Amino acid sequence: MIGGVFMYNHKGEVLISRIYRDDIGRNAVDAFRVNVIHARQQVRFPVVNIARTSFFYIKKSNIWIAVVTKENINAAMCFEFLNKAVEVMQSYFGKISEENIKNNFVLIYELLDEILDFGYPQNSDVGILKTYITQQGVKSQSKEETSQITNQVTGQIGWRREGIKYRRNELFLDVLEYVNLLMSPQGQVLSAHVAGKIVMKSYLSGMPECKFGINDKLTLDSKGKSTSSGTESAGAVVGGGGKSSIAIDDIQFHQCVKLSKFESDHSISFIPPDGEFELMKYRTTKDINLPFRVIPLVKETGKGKMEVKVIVKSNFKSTLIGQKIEVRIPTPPNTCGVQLICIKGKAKYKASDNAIVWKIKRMGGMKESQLSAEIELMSN
Amino acid sequence: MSNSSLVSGLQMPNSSSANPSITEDPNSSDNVKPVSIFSNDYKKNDDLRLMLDSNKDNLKLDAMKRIVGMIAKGKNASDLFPAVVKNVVSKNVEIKKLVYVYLMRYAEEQQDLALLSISTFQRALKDPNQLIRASALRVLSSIRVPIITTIMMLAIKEAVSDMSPYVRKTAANAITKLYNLDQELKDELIEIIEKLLADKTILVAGSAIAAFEEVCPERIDLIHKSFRKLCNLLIDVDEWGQVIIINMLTRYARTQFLNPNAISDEESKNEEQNESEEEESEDMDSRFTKPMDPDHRLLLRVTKPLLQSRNSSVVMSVAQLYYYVAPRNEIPLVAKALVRLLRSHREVQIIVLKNIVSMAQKNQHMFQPHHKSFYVHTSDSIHVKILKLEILTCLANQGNISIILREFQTYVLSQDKEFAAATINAIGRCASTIKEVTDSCLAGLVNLMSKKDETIVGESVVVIKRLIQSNPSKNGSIIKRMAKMSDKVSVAMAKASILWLIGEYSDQVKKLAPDVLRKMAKTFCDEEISVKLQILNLAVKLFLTNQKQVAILVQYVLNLAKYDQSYDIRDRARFLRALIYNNEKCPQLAKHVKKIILAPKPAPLLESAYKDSDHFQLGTLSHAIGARVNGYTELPEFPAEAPDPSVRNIEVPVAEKAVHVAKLRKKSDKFYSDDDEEQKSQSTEGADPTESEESEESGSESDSETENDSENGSEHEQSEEEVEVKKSETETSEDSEESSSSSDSSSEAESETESEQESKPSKPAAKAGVKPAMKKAEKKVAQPANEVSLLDLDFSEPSVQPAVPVQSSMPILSPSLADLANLGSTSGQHLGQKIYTTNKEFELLNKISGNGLQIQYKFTRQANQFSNKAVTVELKISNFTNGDLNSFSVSNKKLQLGMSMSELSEFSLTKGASANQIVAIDFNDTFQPAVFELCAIYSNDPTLGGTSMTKKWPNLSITCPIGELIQPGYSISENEFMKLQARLKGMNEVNGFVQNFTHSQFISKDFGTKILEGVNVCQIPSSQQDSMKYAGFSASGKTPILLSLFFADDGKCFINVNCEKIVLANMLIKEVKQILTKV
Repeated sequence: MIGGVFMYNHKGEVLISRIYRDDIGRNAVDAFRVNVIHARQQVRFPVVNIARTSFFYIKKSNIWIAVVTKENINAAMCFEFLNKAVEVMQSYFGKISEENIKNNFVLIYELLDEILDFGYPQNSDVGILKTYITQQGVKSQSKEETSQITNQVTGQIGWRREGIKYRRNELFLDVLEYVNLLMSPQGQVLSAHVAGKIVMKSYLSGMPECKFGINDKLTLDSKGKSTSSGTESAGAVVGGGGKSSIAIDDIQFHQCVKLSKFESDHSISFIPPDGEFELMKYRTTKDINLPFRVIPLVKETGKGKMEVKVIVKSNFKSTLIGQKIEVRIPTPPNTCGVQLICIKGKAKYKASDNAIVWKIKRMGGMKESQLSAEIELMSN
Repeated sequence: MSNSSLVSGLQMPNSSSANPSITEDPNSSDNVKPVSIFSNDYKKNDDLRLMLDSNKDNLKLDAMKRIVGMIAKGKNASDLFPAVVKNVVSKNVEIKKLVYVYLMRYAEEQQDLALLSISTFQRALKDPNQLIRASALRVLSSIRVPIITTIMMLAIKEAVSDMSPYVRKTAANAITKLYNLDQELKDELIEIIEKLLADKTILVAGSAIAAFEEVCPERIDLIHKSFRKLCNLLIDVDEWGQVIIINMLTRYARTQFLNPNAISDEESKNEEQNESEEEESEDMDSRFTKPMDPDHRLLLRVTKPLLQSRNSSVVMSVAQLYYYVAPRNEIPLVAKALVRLLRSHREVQIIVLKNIVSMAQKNQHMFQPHHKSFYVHTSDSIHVKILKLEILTCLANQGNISIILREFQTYVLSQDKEFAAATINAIGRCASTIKEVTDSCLAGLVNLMSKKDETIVGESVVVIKRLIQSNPSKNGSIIKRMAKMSDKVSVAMAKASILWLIGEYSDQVKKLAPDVLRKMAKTFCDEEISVKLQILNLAVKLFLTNQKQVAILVQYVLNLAKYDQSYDIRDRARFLRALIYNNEKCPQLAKHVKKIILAPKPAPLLESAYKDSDHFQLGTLSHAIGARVNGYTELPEFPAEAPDPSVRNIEVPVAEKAVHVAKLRKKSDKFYSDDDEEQKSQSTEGADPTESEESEESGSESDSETENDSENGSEHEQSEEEVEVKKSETETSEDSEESSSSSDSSSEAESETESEQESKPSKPAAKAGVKPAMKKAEKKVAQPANEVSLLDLDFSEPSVQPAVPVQSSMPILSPSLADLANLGSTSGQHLGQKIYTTNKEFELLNKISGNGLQIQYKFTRQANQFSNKAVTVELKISNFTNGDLNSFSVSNKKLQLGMSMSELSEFSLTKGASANQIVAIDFNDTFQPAVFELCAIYSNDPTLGGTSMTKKWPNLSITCPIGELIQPGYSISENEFMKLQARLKGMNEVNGFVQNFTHSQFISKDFGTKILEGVNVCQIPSSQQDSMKYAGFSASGKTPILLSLFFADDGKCFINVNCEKIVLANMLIKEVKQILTKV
């Protein structure tokens, strides 16, 4: 299991070191610094084995966080834990930065103690941790409060405490979708998929059992289909616009969703945590209508000069509008000057990002917009 | 916080404070002062100490925070130990927590002082608040002081039986800590672990298994009893626990179950060639003849939904479980989930890709549909790119190669040279594995050689060299082309490769080769060592094949090499010179010089760098870094013989037992198919598995029922167990029927069935049911209400009722032993009394038409208390409505004259429950249905809102099939049979025959069974050849019914029925005909 957790700043100075197991020596902290942080090599494998001690590390905005072990553990678990720890810390004090860590290391130490017991990850739900690891120093708790905390920490529903009350019971749902697209230089779509997530904000009293359905009828249909064909794919069909259904490749749920129920009758039922959380993530690859089409044209006009023309076409219904559109056009690292002309929106060359950023506030469906740029390159 | 300044002072040793005698003094700060004079920083330390000694909580807290800050940075704060430890008794939780943090870090270094704090923990262990109990145990066990192991052990032992599951969980965690502190406590700890494994709460499961894995992973036998429980709990366990449990279960499955691919492995060996066929997973399905252990199936079933977990490590664990344990056709299930993980964090992505590489090498088809997901994005890190490339290369087949190659073409142009080079290598591999594209790949690679970039040119030359080597004859033109560019290429590796190629295949470039050598000789001095060596090689090879043209050139090159700076070159030159010039001194060598230098070389294999990467267990650290890590244990291979599956059975408090004769022949025939039945029936101790296909079918039926049950039930822990019991009971009864009946017609080995409620000593009356069948009729009324009590326990009716007490002494024998014993004790007995039941269920009311009430009925062929004329009908009533149903009653009976029906005993069904009820109906030897109405009070429905209503289900009708109207007549002798038959001639005799019958069918053992099963008449020993006699009585009128069968040589089987009641006789003959045609 996990033998220890270390945090370093970008210079390799130790900010936090917490060792859980006897087999990890105190010098492991230095070994990592010397071999990884101070190593010349730029990109390294995220698992490093130094003298029979293995380090799993991630880097979050200049901070290195490493998990160290000498045992044969599940590799994905270490990273999952690291990311979880980062998530917990972020919810406590915001961005992970050297300053924030220095200001909060007592808290971090407490947290690390709580979410790892002798190297075994424990319940790391932020909502619960916050009930008994607080930042407000001395705080006397009434008897009811302590008993409530006890109930929640030791209870079986780890993500929600009892006795939540709201005057108005409200629930908000956001559906966020990311279209991922890989296109060949010839403009051919090589692969495209939509990664979506459903984010829920719940302000409900008590222990409500919620059910979430996306077009029930179609879900039922798909169930029939899948049983008749005998395939046991995890695919569920979720109704889109009404007529056509969207086949979902893969679904991933928040801890609170009863997976066994989903398995048996494809219903998503859960007791939601309080506040904002990500109910589910899904992925679909079929019938993706790309909302935009971007056509790039690149011409090298001479030594040290190139012309870029980018056309953006909106592919959705003309009754809809797209808002806050941003197009990033990467430029070569040796760019020294860019001249831009665009009809719609604002475009800017950002040297720090090595990209031209083109922002369009709103754009109607089935419209087209164009940007042309002349890029001057330094010769080297 | 301004810790940085104060921290620096702490590195100085502080001898005085480390001395316990001083520090126990409350005024210790005074004693320390003289020492601290030397350093300013010590004052600050003092300041901390003063703060800790004060009585103000916020001062203390402040001090503690600063100290913990020091610890967090890895600075030494051990000299403050005594001052800190005092505060362990603080009432303030915040301070206490920080003191705990401090203690955990430094207790080891100051063991004596640490002991001072122990009593505080011991007190806290008795705290009424479970959270405090748990955290006290947690801290206590985290103190790494060997002296307190006994205290820890005591604390753990107590905590293991704590009321709160949270405390028990903490105790499980503490076990590992204690074990690490003192390994000698292992045996004692194993006992505790055993106790924890039996725990039924989800909170404990994960930690208990973690402790198991750490302390005694080799004691796999401890898992048996909790295996099913773990499987059922798994989905609710916290995500970290799931990872640990799944990992353990993988190992468990590999030791306890048979390889599900064993058969298909053999088959695939035969058809290794057409790999494409393996893609058809449905195809594979049908090939599976060997059934899986149901526990194996259970494991796969419960883990499947976890593929949807948000925790990538859980998904990875399940994926590797499937990879190692599932039948091959089910492994692809995990592909989608793994592909999804590619969207997760960068690091996780790398790990997942690495695992996919290993999986894809063994199971190409599994990822082939997803190959687009592995297209490289420019933003990927180099590791990801290389891994994706590897996967794409693995997945390439004839179908998708063109698409993949097109991808590769773009990759080659990538800015990232390392990646581009890897791509070229990948193209080479595709070209060598897929013959169809070899030529086009080669052409493409040759084109790449004209690129400006050195690495690309270099890599492509190397790859081309390898490709040509495997098929040199066809590629003369390419060699020519390469020869032409030999002086343009600047990468040493590439140049060397070209020269080698020219030398090796100089016969194909006869004209060019000497010229290349000439050019190379010119630049020899400036080349790199590897190129120089190849120039030498080329020279010598040409010398041997084309001596005339190159003799002087070779001499020149060798001379150059003689004075080269590198001794490698000098050595080589000396060696080669001796080889080709000094012929006289060593004629043998000279003879073979051509053979030596121009020896044909085997073509190199283009292999992946990740070959054998599945050498380590997937998902583990060892696999990720490709090296054996501490504590890595190989995953065991599947056992060749199935270990006893019955070890997983949980002993049930109320067990019914049925022991009967097993025919060894049958057993050996059905060795495998028995497995699943076996372990179920054995849960009731000693029941023996000999079942025909039918019972297997029904077994699977009941299996699916259980699934439903467990899914419906929210507390599936309990219901599951109940169902388990139920299942095993029905199974047993079926088993016993089958075996008894199958042995029936064979005259030498008869079966003796016995059922006994041994585990229910409170009902000795059960034994009163042991009666010879003829007497049974009279005694029926006197029989105690045995069934009713069974029903209360929600078990299905034991169908094998009459028992011979002879065998009651062997319940504890193992099944195989019991078999043997039974053989001995029963083979000498007569064809005796048997009650044989069909388990055919009829539907009385289905869920839909009954508005949520479902009733099925079957005939148990048992005696009932209502009347000796009546037939016993068992109703299985299930409530699928949204509310409770109370006080069922039968009303409005519509019965034909002479028929009668018993009342229902009052009972009620809660939502989702089902119960078995016995009804006795006297059909008066007719086929008229018994029609009645069922009423119940319906309540507790949420839509009704507290009110209740009476529900009625009218016109339920039960018809009795012929077999149920007959009771077998056991003790009739052949003589009596003949006499009766003689009396019932003429009007009372009905004849029929069945054609196309064979003698083997006639004497087959199934035959008698089927008759008994179908029409419930029992066989009478017959002295005539080729005839069989059966006798029975009508249930109501007790009129004798005689059935005789004759086999005629022309393939006809004559049926004779003698009975006073013509209708019965006619129906019987119809039924028998049907049975015979089916045999």
